[in-house]
Amino acid sequence: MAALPKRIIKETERLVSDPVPGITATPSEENLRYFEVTIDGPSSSPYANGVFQLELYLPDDYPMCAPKVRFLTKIYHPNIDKLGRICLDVLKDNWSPALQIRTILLSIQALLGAPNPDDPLANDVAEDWKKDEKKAIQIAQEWTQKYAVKKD
Amino acid sequence: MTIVKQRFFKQASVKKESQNSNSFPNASSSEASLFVQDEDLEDVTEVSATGLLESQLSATVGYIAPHIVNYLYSKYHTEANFVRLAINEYLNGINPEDLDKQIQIEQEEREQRSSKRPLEEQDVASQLDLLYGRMQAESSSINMERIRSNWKRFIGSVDVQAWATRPTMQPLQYSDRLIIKRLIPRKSTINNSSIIRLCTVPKNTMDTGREIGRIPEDLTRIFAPLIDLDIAFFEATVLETTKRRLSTGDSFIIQIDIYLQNTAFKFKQFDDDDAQDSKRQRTQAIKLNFNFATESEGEATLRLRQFALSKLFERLEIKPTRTLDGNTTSADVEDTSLELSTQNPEDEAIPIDSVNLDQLKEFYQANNQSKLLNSLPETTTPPKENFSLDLRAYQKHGLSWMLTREKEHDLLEKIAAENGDTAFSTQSRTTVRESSEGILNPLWRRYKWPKNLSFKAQKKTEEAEDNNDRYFYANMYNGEMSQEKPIIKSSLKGGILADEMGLGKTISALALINSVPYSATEEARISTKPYASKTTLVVVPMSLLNQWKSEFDKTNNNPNHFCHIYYGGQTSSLSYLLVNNKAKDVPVVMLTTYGTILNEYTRLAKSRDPNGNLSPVGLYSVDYFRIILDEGHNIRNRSTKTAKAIYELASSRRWILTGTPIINRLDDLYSLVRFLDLDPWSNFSYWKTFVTLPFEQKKVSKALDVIKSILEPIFLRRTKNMKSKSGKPLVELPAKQVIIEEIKFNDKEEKLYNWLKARASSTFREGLKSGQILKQYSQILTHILRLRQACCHRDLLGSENDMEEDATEVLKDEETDSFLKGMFQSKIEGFENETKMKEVMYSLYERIDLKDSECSICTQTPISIGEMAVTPCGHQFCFTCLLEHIDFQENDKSRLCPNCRDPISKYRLFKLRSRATSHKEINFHSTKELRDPSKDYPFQIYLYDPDKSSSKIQALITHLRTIRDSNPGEKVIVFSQFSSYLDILENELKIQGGRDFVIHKFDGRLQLSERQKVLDKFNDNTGHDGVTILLLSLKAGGVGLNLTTASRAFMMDPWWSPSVEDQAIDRIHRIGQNETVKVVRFIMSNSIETKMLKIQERKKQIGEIVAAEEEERRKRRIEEIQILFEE
Repeated sequence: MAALPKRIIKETERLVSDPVPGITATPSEENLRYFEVTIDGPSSSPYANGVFQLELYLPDDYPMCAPKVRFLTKIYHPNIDKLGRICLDVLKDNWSPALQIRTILLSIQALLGAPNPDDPLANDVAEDWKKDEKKAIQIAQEWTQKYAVKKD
Repeated sequence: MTIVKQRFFKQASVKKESQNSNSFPNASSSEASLFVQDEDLEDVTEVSATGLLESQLSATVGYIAPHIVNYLYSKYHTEANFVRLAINEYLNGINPEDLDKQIQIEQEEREQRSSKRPLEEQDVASQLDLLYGRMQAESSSINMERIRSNWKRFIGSVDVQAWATRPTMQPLQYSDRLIIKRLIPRKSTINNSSIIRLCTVPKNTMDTGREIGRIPEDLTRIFAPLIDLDIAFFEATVLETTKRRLSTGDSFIIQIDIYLQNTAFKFKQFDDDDAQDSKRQRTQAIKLNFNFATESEGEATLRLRQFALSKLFERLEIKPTRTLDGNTTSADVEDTSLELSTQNPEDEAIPIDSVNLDQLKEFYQANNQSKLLNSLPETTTPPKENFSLDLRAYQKHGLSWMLTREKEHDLLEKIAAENGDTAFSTQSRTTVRESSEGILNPLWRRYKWPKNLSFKAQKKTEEAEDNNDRYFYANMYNGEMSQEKPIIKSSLKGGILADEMGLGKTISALALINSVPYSATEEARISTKPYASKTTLVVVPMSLLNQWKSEFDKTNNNPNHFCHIYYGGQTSSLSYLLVNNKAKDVPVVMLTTYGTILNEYTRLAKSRDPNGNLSPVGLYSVDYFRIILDEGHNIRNRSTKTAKAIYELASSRRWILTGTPIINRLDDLYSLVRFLDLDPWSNFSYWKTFVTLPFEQKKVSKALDVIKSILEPIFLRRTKNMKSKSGKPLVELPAKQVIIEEIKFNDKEEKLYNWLKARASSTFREGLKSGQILKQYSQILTHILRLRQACCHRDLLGSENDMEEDATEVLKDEETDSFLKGMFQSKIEGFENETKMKEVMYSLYERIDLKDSECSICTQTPISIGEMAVTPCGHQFCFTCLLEHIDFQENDKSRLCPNCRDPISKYRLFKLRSRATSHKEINFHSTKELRDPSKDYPFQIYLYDPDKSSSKIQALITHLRTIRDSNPGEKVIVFSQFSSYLDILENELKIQGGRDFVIHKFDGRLQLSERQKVLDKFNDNTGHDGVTILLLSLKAGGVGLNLTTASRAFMMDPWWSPSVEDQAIDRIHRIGQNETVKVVRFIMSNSIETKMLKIQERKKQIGEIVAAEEEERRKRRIEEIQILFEE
């Protein structure tokens, strides 16, 4: 494997020294391109109080192409499918090398606060959302309670 | 017998002297004899008695002047025991008056005799006979009491076919004795022609023996000087009874037994002091220096002697015995035996004194290893408290040698004992000690006396061999012989360490210094100057001064040891520093440069004292413990001031370090020997006679042989190819990684390449169809060249063909020119027009903050000026990052500024360079508010032109940037075969790299005087934290250069033959290289370059066509061209 670019080292250092509130990202010991990520659900959203586990991988072409991010915790969201894949423009075509791990994770956090059923990934969830938003939000809250809230 | 003959000469000189009223009593008789004109042979007889007397006398009392012999002879020859009487009188002192009287009488007698000689002839003969008988008796009695001298000893026999010059009365009988007599014809000198007669033994007093035959010319040539110079004695015996009596011209077989006489071992140097002759000698000496074609008579004699002896030995097949240390002498006397140079008109050809490569190779091979080395321990290390480094095995071995050279045997043995080195046996210790106490003069060989196989000895089987001296010694270079072992007692301490570059001569020298830093005991010194007994003076070229200093510091372990650098100037304090200083801080090493010494010398040389000595100032004020010359070939020219300045430094231990002891002539070595003061070679006449002259006369192997003998004890050279005892190479090279990096053409390059390729292919196919490919060969080559150039950079297409090989004519190609114009002048992707572009450009100045700029792609901050790229939207990135980003996108639409997502393009990028831009200029182009016109921006923005560079250049720059980041200060070689490509590279690297790259260029256009400077600059270890780049032309720099300071290379373009590229890589992958060598070869994918790799492979398999037939070459060329054009 090629040596770790200076940028990745710098980003990692900054994630540790100057963490984003509500977000943690810890590089794996075996592979410094692989991160274990947690995102707190935004307080005003159905995902509040939930702590969502994600994995993030920086491909060899990073930062020319976007990192690969996936939810590990089950989540009821129109832009996130059963496998945890995320539909977010900056992870796809709108990726710019000027973006960083931190900005991407913030975008994901923002996505939790503002689901966009018009650009769905999980079609069934999106339909539910469009039909009955209240019910959908309730399911989302339940799922959060069930899968994302730690029980002591 | 023979004695008769030789006395003839002595007498001649006596005669001459007496006629000259005795004014030259000491004149060398042998020399005088050379002036003798021929005399009538019959005159000899009477004189021979004096000769006999003289030989008896001289055997007892040593040299005795001829006129005294004459005097004694005439006084006592009638007495029975006249020899004894003569000796007594001589030893008691001769009354000078008697002597004068005798000489007068003799003169008178002579005058009388000359008038009536014919009558006296018989009388004289009978008198002689009587006398002879008396003398026989006399001498046998003397023989009893005197130490054996005047002896002769069998050296060998030859069978000779002689021919009769006169009819004989009877057939010759087996075992008939014959007498060999020498005849010098009138008006001839011994040099040219001579005759040896075979005479019958005188049967009675009436018979003086008459000539019956002569021996062949070739033997005569050898024997004649041996007789003339009292070297040998001959006995001839008839081997075969002839069937009938001989007629003139008949041949008959005889055996000639040859004996060396004692006189042969009393050798007189031609340059012996000779008071009367000193004046002539001096002029001779002057001649020696200037004109070697003329030789003095002394030299002629010497040469004759040498010639005769070496031929005799050759004829008798006498070979030197093994030398004492058990090695055969490689110097086969046969090979080196001289022919008379004047015999061969070819030898008169223009003297060539420079050494060609083969000869140099021969020299190095011959001088590779000192024999002594085998007996030395390989474990010697300097004391740890002084020296911190671990030496490699051969360096330890070398240190042993150096200690031996300095006669530090005790130390050497002590260290060996400490190391428990059992290999250093008592025997080898003795060898080592003996070797330096006095070695066999290297020009001499030891010979064993052969068993007496003479005719006489076989017949009688008596004559007990005396066993006490079984050997004798001879110098086949000048014909000298000795019974004693000739020993050179050399006081020289030091030598030449000529290890090949990279084997660590500096370290070896430092190891020596640290092993013996001071004089342990009060040594006998020659110099009267104050003794700097603690200091080694090291003389180095300016450029190595710092390297030496740092090597010293690195290896030094002793806090009391330090190194002082002397630049001159402190002349008065120097002797205080080194000698009078009672404190501890006397430097162990004082470093100085050749230049410094030269300066001081030049100043001092103007005012020498009456004895010709330099005033004892500065460097010349003390006698150093030791002097080491690094890169000692700096003094190779003995007539330079530098060399002279070095010679006059005082020290009893002198060392020379050089990897190239010979730069271009054998005489380069002389200067080194002169500095070392190696007796006798430091005498230039000696050197000239034995080395220069033979070499100029093309007797190369002889000259090299002498040099080998000279250097053997004082010269040590190891090469990297040598194997240690364990069979491993002395130095193992680090690994070498060669990576082929395939690069894709960019759009435009590809378009151009395909266009060129289509044209080339059609030409090729036409040629193939008409079957006349070779007729179009040069045209096709031109096409191939174009394709290769297009792989590098399009600008090469218009350039002159500067490929140093295959000098095909490249005609100006209008078609290509117009194609290029059409392709590269379209600015569709760029700005609408120049005004628009400038407007954008000048608006960007205020956006740029050099200190706080950050590349959002790689997070580099700040971005250096040379690396910064600015988008029209004002965002700044590393140029490479941004280009990578742009190239990463699949289409134009997605090429967006990473920061603001404005569309961007390669054709709309700006770069910065370090050049001030005034606000005035910006105000002029800008419509916005005016800035303070008195201020400047410290940079200049310019529009980037992506077509100026090429994919290959960008690939190179990417690599260089990576190196800059990962290994700042790294050195890199960039090879190309196109010099104009090097120009383009230089330009591009400067523009794109800015201060990150330090660029040097070396190609065939560089003047010779500049070349070394460029390399020195490149190799110089200045702490630049960018990348230092040497652009090197494959042809000009592919061979010979040593660039081991770099460990990375980039090959910009492939060459037809793989070996040329390998050689180029060897510039950095060679001895002295400590890092893994990494080489990247850039190859454009799907291009002619990939095909060239195929051809390289093919060449590796079937071998290069070097000596192949023309037909075969053609065939292969066509095949190669076919490979190039196959799809």
